[in-house]
Amino acid sequence: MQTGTIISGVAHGGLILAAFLGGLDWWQATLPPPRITTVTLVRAAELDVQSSAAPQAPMADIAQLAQPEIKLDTVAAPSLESAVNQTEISQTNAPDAADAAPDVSALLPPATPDVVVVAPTVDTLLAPNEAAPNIFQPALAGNELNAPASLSHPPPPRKAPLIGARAIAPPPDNATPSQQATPEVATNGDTQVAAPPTPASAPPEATTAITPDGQKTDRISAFAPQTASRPPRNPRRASLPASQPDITKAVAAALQTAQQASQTTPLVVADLTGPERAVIGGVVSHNWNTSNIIGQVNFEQYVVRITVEVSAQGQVESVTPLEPSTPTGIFEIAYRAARSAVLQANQAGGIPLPAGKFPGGVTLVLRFDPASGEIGFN
Amino acid sequence: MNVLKTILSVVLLLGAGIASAQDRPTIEIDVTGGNIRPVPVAVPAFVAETNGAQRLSGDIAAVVMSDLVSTGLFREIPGTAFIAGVTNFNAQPVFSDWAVVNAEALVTGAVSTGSGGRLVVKFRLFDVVAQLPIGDGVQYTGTQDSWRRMAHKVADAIYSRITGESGYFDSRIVFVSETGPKNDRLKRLAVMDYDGANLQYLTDDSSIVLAPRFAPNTRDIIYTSYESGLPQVFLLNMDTGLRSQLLENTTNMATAPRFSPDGTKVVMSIIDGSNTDIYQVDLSTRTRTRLTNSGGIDTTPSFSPDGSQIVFASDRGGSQQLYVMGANGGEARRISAGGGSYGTPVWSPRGDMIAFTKIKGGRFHIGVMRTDGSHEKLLTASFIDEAPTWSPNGRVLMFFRETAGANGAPQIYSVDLTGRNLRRIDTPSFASDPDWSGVLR
Repeated sequence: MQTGTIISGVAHGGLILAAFLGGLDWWQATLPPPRITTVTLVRAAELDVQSSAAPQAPMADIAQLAQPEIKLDTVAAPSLESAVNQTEISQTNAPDAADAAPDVSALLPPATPDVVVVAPTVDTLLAPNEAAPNIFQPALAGNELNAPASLSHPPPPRKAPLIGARAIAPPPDNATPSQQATPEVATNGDTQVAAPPTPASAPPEATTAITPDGQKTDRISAFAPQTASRPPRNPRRASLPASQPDITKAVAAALQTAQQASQTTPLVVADLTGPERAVIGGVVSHNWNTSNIIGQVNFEQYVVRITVEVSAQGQVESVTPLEPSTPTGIFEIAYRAARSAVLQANQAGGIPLPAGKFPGGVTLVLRFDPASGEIGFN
Repeated sequence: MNVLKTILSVVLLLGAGIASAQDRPTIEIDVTGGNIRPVPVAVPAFVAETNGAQRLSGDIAAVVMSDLVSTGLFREIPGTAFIAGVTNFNAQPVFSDWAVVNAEALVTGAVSTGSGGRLVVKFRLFDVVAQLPIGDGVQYTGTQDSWRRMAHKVADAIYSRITGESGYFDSRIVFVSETGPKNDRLKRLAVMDYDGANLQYLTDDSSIVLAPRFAPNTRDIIYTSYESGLPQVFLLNMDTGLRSQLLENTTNMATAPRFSPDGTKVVMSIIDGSNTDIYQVDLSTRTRTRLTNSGGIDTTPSFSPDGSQIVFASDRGGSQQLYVMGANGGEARRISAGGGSYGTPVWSPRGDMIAFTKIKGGRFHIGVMRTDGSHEKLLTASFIDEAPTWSPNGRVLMFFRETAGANGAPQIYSVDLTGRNLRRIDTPSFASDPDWSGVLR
């Protein structure tokens, strides 16, 4: 644990130092220029054939067909320059977002985060980023330790109710006790005998004496709901002492105990719940474009797995192909689509990791399965 | 010094990665579903490196963009949305400028002209999201007259790098051009670029012509003509204009010809008496060999791309269905199993699928199935959809659709294998029976 922290500290410190000394721009500035491959497209003789007029059929009447004769009033003659525009898509999907006149000022703030993209053949470090995006933090119902801090404080004590606060007027001077006799209570068996009055006492919850949490003698875990899943144990809170005067020393002792325990006992590996996995998978899937994959022959086979290093704040740090480790051919197309999905999700706000669940970040292995999305008239 | 910096940085990165990985849990998550949407691509005007290249710089970029958008796999980022153009072909793009307009792919290029009509076009392709180049820069050399073909070549290369498949933009379509009223339609052969440009007529309208098919060399065409009163098969070379009847001195009617993959043979239907069977004709000797001998009508044969098998339609079983047999004939096995009748089968150039026309419930469909008849998938539905032909890469089908009514007329359409990108190919007249050439050489 300490070794890793030291190595990480040295490495990150070195990176910061390198950034101070010369910046990281040299990384891109020294990219070799793309290699130009010269390809001779066509031979001169072939070009002559291609650019010549329509082939002349041997029959005399066909030889007069150099120009197309249009007999329909509703159609236009083809034009070399406009032919491309005439061949427009008649049915296309509506674009996801309007392209015209973008509001640049509104789009600029979410700067590209620090991402290392490991391409199958080229390692490249991208430009650093200053701004950290907002991380989606899903609420976890029933997990009181992850609840906001304001909810963990006890409510203020209520005022005691005012009972009989008004003075009663004294009886008049000529008042005398009533002479009306009250009949005696029958003592036979059919008659219930009134029980002697007992002194009343307030129920325990009605008392105004509020005991602060710090003075509780029981462990906090004892008050956890029996039906709710328990959060990861917090050693500091679980070892609070009973007496208020010794709380400072006790907290220090608990901290020391917890640190020792963390070094001697194996770490509890954090995991994601089903809904948390679904949220992360959904965010990536939303940016996963499968259009270049599903048209391939037996496209179901092009399943790729990639490794994504994610910081505690949900920022993607690197994307690496895992399976296949060196994608080629259509697998390379599938890998690029997967990588793009992750990077676009990162630019849109990052990977939605649960807040505080992975303080050291997490390594996600994402498996992209394209076997879906076919349509037809069958 | 740069090498030292690189080594230092790699060591630091590895150290940071190892240290971080030590206390990081690994969690595997399945990503399913995804979405099918066009890739937003920006193609700014190519840089004109010489004065004479100013006009072509914009035209070439426009053709490249049109080619890409026509596939349905790409969406154009209009030039009005660009924050900045590209003024230096060799400069690294400012990716943030293109990311902010939602471009995921960026094409930069340059055009220069030289003496003798020489034209040089070069381009680079970038992944804006990953901020990485996709492949190397490529330079094409040709003449100014061939600028459209060079633009198609650029689009082919871009398409291939992004989709992993070969492009098909530098290809041509031969079809039957139709004019006049429905009951007196005049037909003649025409050829055009895949996008409708460079239209040329190959025959006059004095006789009915049907079913033109390209030879593998993309220069020869075989078709059926009624100029003698009976349907006969003719060969036409587009370079020389020379034309010849395939089988001379015969009174048998011949239809539905198609070349073998090596271009040395032709298979077609010949009507001999009351029986229609499939024959193979050797182009060097013009001798014919009978491949089927059934009591039904066997027609519209098509070779597999390796030349070892032939798929055809036959009603030998009562209704018209699809059958596959060896290239030299022999026993045929039925592959179509769904309801309705099937016709005009065409083997995919990739060899994995067969396209067909299906009639069921009074509607016509263009569909595809695997070569064993499984995984049938209908891509279209219409009053009449007929005669599919494959793009050179086997990803797109072209066919003709005829509308109903007294004024109904055919037009050429294309659809990709997902069925999501149906589009009409504009032609100056009605058009039917298209056939897609291979990529031009």
